[in-house]
Amino acid sequence: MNEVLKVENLNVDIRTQFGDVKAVRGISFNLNKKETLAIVGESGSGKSISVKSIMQLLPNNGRISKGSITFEGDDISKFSDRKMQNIRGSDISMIFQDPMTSLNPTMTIGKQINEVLKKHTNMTKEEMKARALEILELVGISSPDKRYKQYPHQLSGGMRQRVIIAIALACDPKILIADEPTTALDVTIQAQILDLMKSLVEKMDTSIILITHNLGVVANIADRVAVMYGGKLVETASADELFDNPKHPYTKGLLASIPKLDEDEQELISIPGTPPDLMMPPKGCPFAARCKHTLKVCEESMPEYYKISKDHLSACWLLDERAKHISIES
Amino acid sequence: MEREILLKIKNLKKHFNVGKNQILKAVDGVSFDIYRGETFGVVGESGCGKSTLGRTIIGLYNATEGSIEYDGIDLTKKTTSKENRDLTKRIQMIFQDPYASLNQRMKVMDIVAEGIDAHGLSKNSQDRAQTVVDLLNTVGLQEEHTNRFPHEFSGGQRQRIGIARALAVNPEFIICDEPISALDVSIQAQIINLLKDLQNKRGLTYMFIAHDLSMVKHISNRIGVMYLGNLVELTTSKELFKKPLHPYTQALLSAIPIPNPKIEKTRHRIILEGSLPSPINVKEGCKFSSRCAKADTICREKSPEFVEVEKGHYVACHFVK
Repeated sequence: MNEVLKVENLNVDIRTQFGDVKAVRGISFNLNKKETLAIVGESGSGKSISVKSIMQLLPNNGRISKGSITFEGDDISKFSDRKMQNIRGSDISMIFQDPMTSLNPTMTIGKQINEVLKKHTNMTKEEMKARALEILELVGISSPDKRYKQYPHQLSGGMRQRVIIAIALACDPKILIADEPTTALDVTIQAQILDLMKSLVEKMDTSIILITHNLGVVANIADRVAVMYGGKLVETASADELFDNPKHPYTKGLLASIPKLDEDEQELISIPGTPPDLMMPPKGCPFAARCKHTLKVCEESMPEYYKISKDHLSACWLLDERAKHISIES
Repeated sequence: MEREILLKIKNLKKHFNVGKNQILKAVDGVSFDIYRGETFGVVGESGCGKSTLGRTIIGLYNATEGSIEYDGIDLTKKTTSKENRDLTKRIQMIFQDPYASLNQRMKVMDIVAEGIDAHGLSKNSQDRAQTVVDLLNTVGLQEEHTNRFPHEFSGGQRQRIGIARALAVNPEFIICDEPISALDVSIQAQIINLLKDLQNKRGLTYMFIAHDLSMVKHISNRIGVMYLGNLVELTTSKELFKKPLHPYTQALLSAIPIPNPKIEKTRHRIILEGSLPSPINVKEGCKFSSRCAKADTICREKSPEFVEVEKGHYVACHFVK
């Protein structure tokens, strides 16, 4: 079987003083071996919460209210804390957005890599050091034995992100979850990190779930893309198909709102309005309030997924047989 | 046709003392002009001094050396208090972080009206309220928003409040310091369109500081590229993207991921080694030489002049003639 992870009908609630925020409302996706899946969406669309629930790293007031997460035949959403600790960092590991704060400033780089190895393997001290140096070299850090003894503040942002990737990869994970790994970095450094991640997929057979809002990054690295809006998945497709033939009005709007470097256009196409408040999620399609083509049915019920091609699903009423007569210009 | 120069910057330097014998040269000899009615973009990686440049122009920092001439008045020299009041009315700034730049304890009405009050621009409270409502309408907010606090707004809405506040005193020149980098893509487009629209209606001049090159290209007439405190290239935005001459600009442009998988996955890209060197006690010579593929001995010994190689196209590189 090629599938390494399967998420089915995942619902996540965040309890607040004013009521439950339904941050993720029934999303399903799968991840294949050696595949890079990008999850795209605006802040507050639920993309970070979805992957944090895979790792069971939700905040204290958050919980998975429904759904299953299958990894190697087990539903890991039901795992106890202790069992989850064995998976985190070894089978599934995660890298976070901000390389400045995800490392411990009081520990040397070497010690932080060894921490993972100590927890998950039975290596001796010498073996651990050898592995740490090997992995530092793999992520493109020059003179690893010097860096091994250094502290995070002695490294630049790009270097720190490399160290974080090294820690995440130390135990040969099957899945690497990267939550906006390049957002805090400059474009030139971003290009370096993306190249590194691509080469790692080749070398280590890792699957990647990448969260981002930068569609350029998606085009660079992703095989498949899932677009999230208002806690729901609105469209999934292979990267090529999504950029060539987007079907959901939100995806279309998102693609149209990025300025093209090779063209001159007078005005950017923007999506009016703001995302819905998930404290009281809309009954129908979450995008209905901002969509140009809203029908009566959009406000009343959530559309099904319509199959466009083998790998391409889109949830929009306009794709229904009965709406065929409505022409959409984009 | 000769265009009117609004802002003339000559050999501007801003150095910070960061320790014993340690000088951080954030801006180190920058010269350029901004014409009335245009948008001048400044791009560069973090730490290249682009924000310091903006802050020095508006006077949040005192310049170490050089001159900033705004419509005939040298801002680095002592100005009379009347001139000063006049200038704060003419130059305004929009800040990067819409969460930190608005006072949490003030209502939107008072935030926007602060400049109006300081300059006594309203006759009575009714007039003041009306002006604020008009401003909010201009930036796409409604009258009922006047009595709310900043935390009740989303990032995009807060940035609109920041723009309304800057517009309150009817300025002619606005420095925008990364006004969109904290916002989501679909909201970014809204703010950019708003800024462009305001420029057309009010004849504003912008200095637009950002690291997102595609957005800068979209809004700017001319763009200056900064590297470690120096301008390395300056030209029209069309020319810069069509024919970048400086090796750093070329690398920077090739690093932007293009949202099209077919182009993105096949194109050749120049990957820069390493990262921006520390701006403290920089060595002699071209500052980019440590990362430049073309660097030669001359680059390490002598820093290149910022010269006009074609009409309106300035480059600082020994190899571009």
